[in-house]
Amino acid sequence: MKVKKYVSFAVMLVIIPAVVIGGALIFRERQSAWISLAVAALSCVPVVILYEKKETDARELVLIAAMTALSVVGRVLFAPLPGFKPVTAFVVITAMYFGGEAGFLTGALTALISNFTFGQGPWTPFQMAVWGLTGLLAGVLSSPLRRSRALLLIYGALSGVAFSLIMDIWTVLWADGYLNFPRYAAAVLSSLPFTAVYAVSNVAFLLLLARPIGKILDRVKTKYGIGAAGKK
Amino acid sequence: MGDIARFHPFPLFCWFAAVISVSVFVPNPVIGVTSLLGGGCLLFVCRRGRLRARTALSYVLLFALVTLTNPVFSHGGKTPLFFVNGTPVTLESAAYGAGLAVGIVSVLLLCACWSEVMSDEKFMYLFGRAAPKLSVILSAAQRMIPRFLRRMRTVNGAVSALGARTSQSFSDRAAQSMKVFYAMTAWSAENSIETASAMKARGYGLCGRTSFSPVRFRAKDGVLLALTLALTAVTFTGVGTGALGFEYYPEITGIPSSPLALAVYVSFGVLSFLPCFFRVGGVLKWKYCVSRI
Repeated sequence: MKVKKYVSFAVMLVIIPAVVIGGALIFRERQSAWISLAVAALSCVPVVILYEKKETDARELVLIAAMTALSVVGRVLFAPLPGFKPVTAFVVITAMYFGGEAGFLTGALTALISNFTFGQGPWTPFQMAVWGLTGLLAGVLSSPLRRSRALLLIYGALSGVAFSLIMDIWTVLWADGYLNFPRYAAAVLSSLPFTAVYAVSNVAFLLLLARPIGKILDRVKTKYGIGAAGKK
Repeated sequence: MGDIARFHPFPLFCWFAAVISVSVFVPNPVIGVTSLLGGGCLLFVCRRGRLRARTALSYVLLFALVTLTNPVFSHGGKTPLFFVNGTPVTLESAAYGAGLAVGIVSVLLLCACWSEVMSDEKFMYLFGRAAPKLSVILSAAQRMIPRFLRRMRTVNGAVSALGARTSQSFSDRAAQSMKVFYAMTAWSAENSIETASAMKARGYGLCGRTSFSPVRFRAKDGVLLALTLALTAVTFTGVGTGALGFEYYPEITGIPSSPLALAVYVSFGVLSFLPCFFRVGGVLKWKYCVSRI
């Protein structure tokens, strides 16, 4: 086990900087695209390593899988409406009830699995990182989010806007190889309708789903003694 | 998919990683066009010649969009073609746009091939051992998706049989649909606990357990892996020594054609068509090695 621990530290301390610096030296022309892709992919690594090392109940793993499957189904069912998807809502709800790491995994894996249907591409690591981090942050804020409905809806709207802005950064880096501000401004402007749809759909789905699904998850947690409810 | 999908995941992954990274990060027109042709050819082979016109058209449109918009956003370069409102539209920036478009479209083509070839079980095979919990979640979630859809139909059927679906008003119907969805969620959440108990009862998480995999590493996979590594090494040597250097700004430089650069073009050409060669070889074998018994 000790060897594994050292390997994981080596990944974080040596491999990530090595990939970034090596990429910058070898691929001078497209270095920011390379670095951003590497950072997006590798930012998932520490969370996953920490989660792998933690003692986890098999029940929690399967419940995370169930939430992931639900949000993938949601994304597929709502695919005809571009931008209108319940993924963020599911990620935030999972994070509120099972913690940030669970939220991260739900977000990242939803992006990965649903892209087996929608098509994998260089955008997959970005979507994984953005949805994952949305979940991680929601886990950190879980107690205020559970207490205040207004805060929850604001968080949903902001994460929709953030998703759009970050994906636009990706578009520009991908197209230009560096952060070309005029193009970024154009990309943000042209995706404004999408940004609005993301924010509105997040708010709508959280408004609709947060309470009933939260009730279901709370009940399951109490009934089977999962997580904090089990320690009481 | 045939032959190509039957390769071992590891050499396939190496091949995709090598070709995609070279074509993204080496701004050389010959490399770009080679990988564009290679990717297109592979996609054609993967889909067994059934490439829809709409798909092809979307790639062409994307190509045109990137090429034409680049001069709008960047005005570097020495050779102005014409002026719009006093800002020059330069040859270099248009050429840069075209180069960019070649790179982007070829990576998209390769990603489409990846989606065809690297199915989810290959992905699981590659990354499962590095992150066992993650891969349990991944495989369990994938198993649950079709089950959810089936459950949704079951609950829907039960609700309709009770006569709850007769109302014409939209809000009633929406409320009914949400009810079905909640019922399904509750059912699935409770059911996950059962699944987890079954996993535990069968010894999930105990040490010393091995997992079954139908994947085998055969001689053919070794050949693909060795060729991929060798050709990639040649390509990276060329890139590392700067033999492929190509600049768009401030003036378009000539396409490098030193012996080393030519060697790199040939080896990258072979690399990007490698899976197609295997496929063509397989087809020829099938055609001409008729059993004479």
